[in-house]
Amino acid sequence: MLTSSKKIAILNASSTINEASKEALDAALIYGSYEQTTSLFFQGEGVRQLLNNQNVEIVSIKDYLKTMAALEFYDIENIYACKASLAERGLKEEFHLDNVQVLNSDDFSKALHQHQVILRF
Amino acid sequence: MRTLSVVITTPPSSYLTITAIDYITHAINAGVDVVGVFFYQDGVLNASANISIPNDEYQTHKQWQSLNQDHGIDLHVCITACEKRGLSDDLADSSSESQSNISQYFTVSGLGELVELTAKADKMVQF
Amino acid sequence: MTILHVQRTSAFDKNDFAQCIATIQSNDALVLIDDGCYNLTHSMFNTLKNQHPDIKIFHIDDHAQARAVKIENSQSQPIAMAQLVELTFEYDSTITWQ
Repeated sequence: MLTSSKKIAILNASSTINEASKEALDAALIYGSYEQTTSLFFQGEGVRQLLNNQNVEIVSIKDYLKTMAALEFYDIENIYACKASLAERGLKEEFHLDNVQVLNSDDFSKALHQHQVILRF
Repeated sequence: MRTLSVVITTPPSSYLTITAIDYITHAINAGVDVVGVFFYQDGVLNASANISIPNDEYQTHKQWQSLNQDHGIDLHVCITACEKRGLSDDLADSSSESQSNISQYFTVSGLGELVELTAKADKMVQF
Repeated sequence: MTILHVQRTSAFDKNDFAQCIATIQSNDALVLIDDGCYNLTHSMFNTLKNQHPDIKIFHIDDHAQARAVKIENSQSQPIAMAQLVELTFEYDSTITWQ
């Protein structure tokens, strides 16, 4: 197993029904499986990925949102959502994951600044 | 020596890819050790062996070839992202003569390589 | 830690620059490249300057010239691609807004 002390952030900026969202999650899970410290950030349209009661299978898309439940098995426990992004879209903090931390813009930014590698999808 | 890895997510038809190649070339010229380039999402389309761009336009695929052949830069493509987009190195059942439609200058890899490149380089930059 | 923000899209077209501005801190730096150069005449650019008066802002000179974007040196410092490489190593991490 390779050793790296870098903290990785995956910044999710794409809405739910967008292939970039699934490929971002795939990348996050791989980092997790290699035991790299990994955090997920949801900002802009990306916050839609966290909302409950979505059923992407209606439009023939594999339910990758369900896969997010596996994040904790890969020790990906830091999941952050941007409060301003939710508010400007009129969205409530009703998520399909129970460990989402909703942060104001400044705290969201400060959390992101703790990472050495940031990939945005 | 300073080390760098680069993630490419834009396709060969995008002008954004020209900027990425320009950046990598300048990194090499500055003496930076570019430990690898990882192609993901639509970026994997850069690895197609069948790209043909009119001669009077920017030759994206030839620039990647040059980075690999002249500068020894490893070009890794995510095979899962490739196969979703019609690129494969395992076309055994097809009628085509070649078993692969992925350019010989690219290395077929998985997402694990992204993790390796992250660990190996001082900096990782996405384009 | 510090972040180098590489802005590649125009706020007249996409929402990335708004998120960049919401994320950027005073010790970070902003580099406008590709269509990101168009942001210099967007009202959000003034918002950024007001929020962070001393923040370092750069643009790739060739990318601005290619787009006929005229930039005062007081707004942003022109750089070449070689300097973007150097900036990459001066900051702890990079976010590419595209």
